[in-house]
Amino acid sequence: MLKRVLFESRWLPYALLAPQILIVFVFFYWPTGQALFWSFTLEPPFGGAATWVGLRNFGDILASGEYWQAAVNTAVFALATTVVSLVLGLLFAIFADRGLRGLAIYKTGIIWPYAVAAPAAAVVWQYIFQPSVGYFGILNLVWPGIWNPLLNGTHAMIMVIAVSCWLSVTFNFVFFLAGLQAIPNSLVEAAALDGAGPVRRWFDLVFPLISPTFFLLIVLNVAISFTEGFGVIHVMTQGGPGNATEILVYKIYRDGFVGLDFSSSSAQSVILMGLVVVLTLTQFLLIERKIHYAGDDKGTRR
Amino acid sequence: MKTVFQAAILGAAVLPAAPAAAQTEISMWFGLGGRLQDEVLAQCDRFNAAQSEVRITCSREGTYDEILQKAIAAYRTGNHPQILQVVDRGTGTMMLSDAVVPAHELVATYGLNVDWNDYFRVIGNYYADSEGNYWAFPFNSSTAMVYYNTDALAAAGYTSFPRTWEEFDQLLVDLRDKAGFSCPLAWSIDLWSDMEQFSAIHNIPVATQNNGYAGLDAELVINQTPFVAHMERQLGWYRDGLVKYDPAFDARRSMFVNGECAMFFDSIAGYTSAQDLAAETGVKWTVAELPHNAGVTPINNLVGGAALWTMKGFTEEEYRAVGAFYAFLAEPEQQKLWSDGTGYFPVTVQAYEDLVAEGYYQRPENLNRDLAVKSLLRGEPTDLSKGIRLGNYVEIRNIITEELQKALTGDVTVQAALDTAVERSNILLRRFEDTYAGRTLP
Repeated sequence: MLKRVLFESRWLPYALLAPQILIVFVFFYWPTGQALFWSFTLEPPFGGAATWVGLRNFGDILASGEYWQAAVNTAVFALATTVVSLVLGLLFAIFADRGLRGLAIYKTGIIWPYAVAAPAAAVVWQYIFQPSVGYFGILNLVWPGIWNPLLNGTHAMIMVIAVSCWLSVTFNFVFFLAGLQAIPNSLVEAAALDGAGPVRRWFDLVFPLISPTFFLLIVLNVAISFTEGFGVIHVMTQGGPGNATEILVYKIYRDGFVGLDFSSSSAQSVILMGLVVVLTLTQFLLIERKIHYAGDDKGTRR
Repeated sequence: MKTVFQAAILGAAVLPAAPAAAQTEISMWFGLGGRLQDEVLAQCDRFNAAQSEVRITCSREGTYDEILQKAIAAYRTGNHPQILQVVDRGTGTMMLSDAVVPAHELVATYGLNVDWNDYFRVIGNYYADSEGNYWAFPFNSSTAMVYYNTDALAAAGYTSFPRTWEEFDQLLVDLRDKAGFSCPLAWSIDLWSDMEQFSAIHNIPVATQNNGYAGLDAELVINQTPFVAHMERQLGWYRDGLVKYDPAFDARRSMFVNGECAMFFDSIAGYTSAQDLAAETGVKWTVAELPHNAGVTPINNLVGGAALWTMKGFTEEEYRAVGAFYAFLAEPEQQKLWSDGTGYFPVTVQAYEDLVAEGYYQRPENLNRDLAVKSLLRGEPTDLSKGIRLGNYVEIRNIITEELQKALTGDVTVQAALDTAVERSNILLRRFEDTYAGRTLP
């Protein structure tokens, strides 16, 4: 029997909630509503009478080859950064989970990049990857023309993925490490006494126990990679060469803020928002079924 | 004793505030960085020091593109400055914005003391309506030049700089073979010089309707003009290893001033900055006019740079203050200081003639700087060499660059790249036209 807590006054709960709701409204619903309205109009940059054009903005976007190119770029970027930074984050966490000497130093060292702002990191990495004067220029001295992100779209994509991963690995590392350390030693020791080797223990014991962490990180990484990446790409390639590294969120910025086409940019935001919602929902529906949350009955209920 | 001290402190605190109350405060946003930023601020300081009625606050709010973005956001929320520096390519957007007081109206309404005839017409054309009335005050004006290493040119056996692109081709080869430069030219795709300047000099269109001046229904035609062959020529240099490609301007300039590359293209506005940088490395250099195709009589270069726009929504007192600032900037003395400090040329005829009379351009440190003005005054401007007035033009330039980059990697031909660019750009032009349905350019 649940104990019900009721407010005596009718308006008090609403008054207590109001500041929260106001903030959410001002910073989320209002701009989103504005974007939704703009996506059905042609909006002059400095304001004034906007023309209602129905679905034209969406039609123009879906008919444009560059938009689909940006969608493919986004998929490649999102998939690669998610996989690489999850795998590396997990790997580092497994290593750090062992009782090494100087562990605190390793941990701090690995967490550090997370404190670096994306544009700042991108500036540094840009020098490193620069094909003639940067460290990667050495490759070109040995094999001329082997590395040129200024002109080669594939190289440019590898470059921005690498930097984005460098930034997000640490985030995953922290979560994985916390997940690993939450596993009781007694369980691992019991398994070891039963004769399970490290590989066996990993797949049958550790992995199932950290799977909620894993799931959370997949959802976060996919969502983040759709929207982040902006800072890195803005500094390093501006979506180029050609539009080889132009991902959806960068195209939204460019069309809206550089091109001053607020309407097309809004329509693209609406599409992207829908896409992220659908993707996250799909993940919850498909993957979450397989997750066992320790300490609740969610797993058994199904 | 104590009260005397208190009175003195009070007096000190109150006194500076007294004249401030009578002052009109105005502000200007601008987008120039580096050395040019210091020069703008110095100019604002000189204005504040020269009189006491108006106090102007000048602030750099990012690059040209960024200040336009910020100004739009600010205008929508009513926090915009009185004066906004807008780059040449934003002229069409500003004219249709309904957010500005046209310069000629400002002058007429408040009876300001401005001599429009003193401004170089070829500069004003960029910011004038179809009747020739100015919508903005020409501020920083420049044009594209070739910067070259004089020792390198001499080593290649040249006594003067080539006048045609055909000779320029040969110069690149000679710089490599005779002068031993592995990088004759630090290069990138730069539509300002490659497309806009080239088209004006050769009197060929970038878009129909006189490059957009005559109507919002303009369409790009760059895939049908000698511009195609001009880009093929440049991509040929790249394929033949005669140029070093780097899209970052700073990288190209540093390859030039450190003596690695013998030439690069830059605005005349970069003159003093290049001077500062080359002074550290000891590289000797000067500037030359952009070449033209053989068999063509070149007309004027296109003016580049930005102008000062006056925003709507202020009081008469503030607009008079703004007018005083514009009048101050147009004074010959101020024009000379500005031009000398930056590399931009004076925007008024009087100031330019004064400099010529003073022998300013004969001094060794200013040699050939007047070539920029001369290339601007070459021939009689036509409807195709006044400027480019297209909607969404910032983005259109990005699109053309983007498509040409694909040609650079060899994925497509220049012709195919420009065909795609025109197709994509025309969609944007139609969107712009429909955004301002029923409106016409002034």
